[in-house]
Amino acid sequence: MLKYIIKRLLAGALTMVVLITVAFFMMHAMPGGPFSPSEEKNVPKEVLERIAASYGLDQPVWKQYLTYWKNLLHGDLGISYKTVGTVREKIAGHFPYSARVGGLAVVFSLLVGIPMGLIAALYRGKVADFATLALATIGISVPVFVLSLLLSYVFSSKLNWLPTYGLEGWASYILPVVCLSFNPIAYIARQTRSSMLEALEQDYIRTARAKGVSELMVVAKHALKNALTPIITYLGPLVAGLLTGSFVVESRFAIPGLGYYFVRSISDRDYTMIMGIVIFFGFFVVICNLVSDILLAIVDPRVKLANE
Amino acid sequence: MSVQTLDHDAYAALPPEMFVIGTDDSHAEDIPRPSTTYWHDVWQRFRRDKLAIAGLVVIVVMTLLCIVMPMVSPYTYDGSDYLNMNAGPSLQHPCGTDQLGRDQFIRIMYGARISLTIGFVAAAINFAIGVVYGGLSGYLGGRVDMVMMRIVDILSSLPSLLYIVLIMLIFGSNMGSVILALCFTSWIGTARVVRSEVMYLKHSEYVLASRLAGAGTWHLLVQHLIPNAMGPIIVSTAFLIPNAIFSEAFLSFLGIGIQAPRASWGSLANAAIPVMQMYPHLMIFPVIAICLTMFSFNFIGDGLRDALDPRLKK
Repeated sequence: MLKYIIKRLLAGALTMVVLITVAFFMMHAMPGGPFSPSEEKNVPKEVLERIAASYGLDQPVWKQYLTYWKNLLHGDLGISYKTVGTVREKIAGHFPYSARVGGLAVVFSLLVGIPMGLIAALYRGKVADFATLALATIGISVPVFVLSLLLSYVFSSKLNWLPTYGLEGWASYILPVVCLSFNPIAYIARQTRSSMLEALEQDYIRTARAKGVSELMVVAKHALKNALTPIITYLGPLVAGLLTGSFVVESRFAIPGLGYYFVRSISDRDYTMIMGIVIFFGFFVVICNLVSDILLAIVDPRVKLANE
Repeated sequence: MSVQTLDHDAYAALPPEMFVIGTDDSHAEDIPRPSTTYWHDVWQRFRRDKLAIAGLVVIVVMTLLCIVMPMVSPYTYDGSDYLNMNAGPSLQHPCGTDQLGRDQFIRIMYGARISLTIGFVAAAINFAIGVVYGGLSGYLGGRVDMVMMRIVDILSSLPSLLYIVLIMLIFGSNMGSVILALCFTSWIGTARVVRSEVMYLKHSEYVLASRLAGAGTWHLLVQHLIPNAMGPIIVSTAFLIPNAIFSEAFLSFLGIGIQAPRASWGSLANAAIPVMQMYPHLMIFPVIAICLTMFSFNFIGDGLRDALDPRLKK
């Protein structure tokens, strides 16, 4: 197990190195820059050049790349070019908003998706099954930006039940969380349903029933436990994706989260912010995938054997 | 003593109206029904899926409409009708007009051209890369496979928003760079499917026989392995099309995809946000177009999966 974790950690570190390198050079390949004269028309060109030089931006890109690594290995993400404060402070300030909304969305999609899939599988071919499948198809087919527009139009503008923007009070969390969890719910419900149906056909379920185990125990202990392994694999990317913030949902509901600031820092060419958020995102994805793989190895011993 | 066998001659003396049942083997070699090919069988199963057929019909109609309508319509995507600005749906403008008096229906049709082109081209490119990469990785196996799969693992953990936005900014906002951005990593799913299928199939006896007969790597892949893995490959490609269409709509919605005055479903929806309260028709029709297309492709994908691999049908 330890060997497996170490191997995965090394692979994760390699991923981070590639990610940082690719992101750094792609970012510098973008047209324009943080202090380009074509965008900051009110500031004299000489002043802009002096500012750029003070950040080391007059150096060749490979030199800047090495400097960035040197600072990074000392734990220094630099200061934001376009906003006040260090990158570390900015991330620490905006991440909690994304994490709160995203965390609620993860919990909500699991609490709704798994029971939905379970009921659909147990009442296969009945109304509940068709309703679940219909909802799951809608969840996969309707893009999140369409959904957020429709929901805010109906519930905020027309009915005036829920606030349109901001994060004040529990009511303002409802729309962003529902928008974020719509697609995951559809995926989780479909996945739970199909793996549950598969699990219920297995021999050990028949054995359990033949032994006289109650139907509740058969479903809860024997079938569901095995049907949930695909969900665990999905959980890693899901947690990483939702907690780091969604640009569409955050800009639609004016949530000052990381997803929104990431896109803004790209259009601002705020190099240090872009790199800081990319590293944070990448780190989060690597850790979440690692945790879900370890969980999977604990739940399903066959996976562990295959990896050792 | 002799073992009693069914001897035709022994019954020769029987009268003609008496015969032994089960001794007539003159039709044993006949085939009662014409034999069906695999693809014929798949079509038979697909045809029975009503939702998938409905989806197919919608996509075919939409494809024909978006090719023909801009040719025969009196309006263009950037031509203005100054007498009818922000008009609701009417006989003259079936989906109304926008704030510049441009016909919304024809703009949605141009959007359909863009969305469907991007969907099909991106899926075709992803299919090609995925099949070659996954096929080689699965067939060669061993160390080559390990290195190729590690590369795929790293690529798939890059945050997609980052490289998509960066590619769009570097190569400019046009259809080519949208396709490039979408093809950057979405072939990975197909490649993984192809790899596992090829790894499974390459130890089959017919592959061994072909190799003994002197077939090379390329011949084995193209003639034997890929065609037999086609079912799962088609299913994973079918789901790439709605993904590509969705991503394009998303990028245009953010304002970094297709640029004005050209219209895409995403940019039409985005342009309608500020005036959503007063002119809801500007929002409703592009949104209907997006959702209808996504539904249709997802239904087709589900139908194909059930038809190509009946084991998966639940």
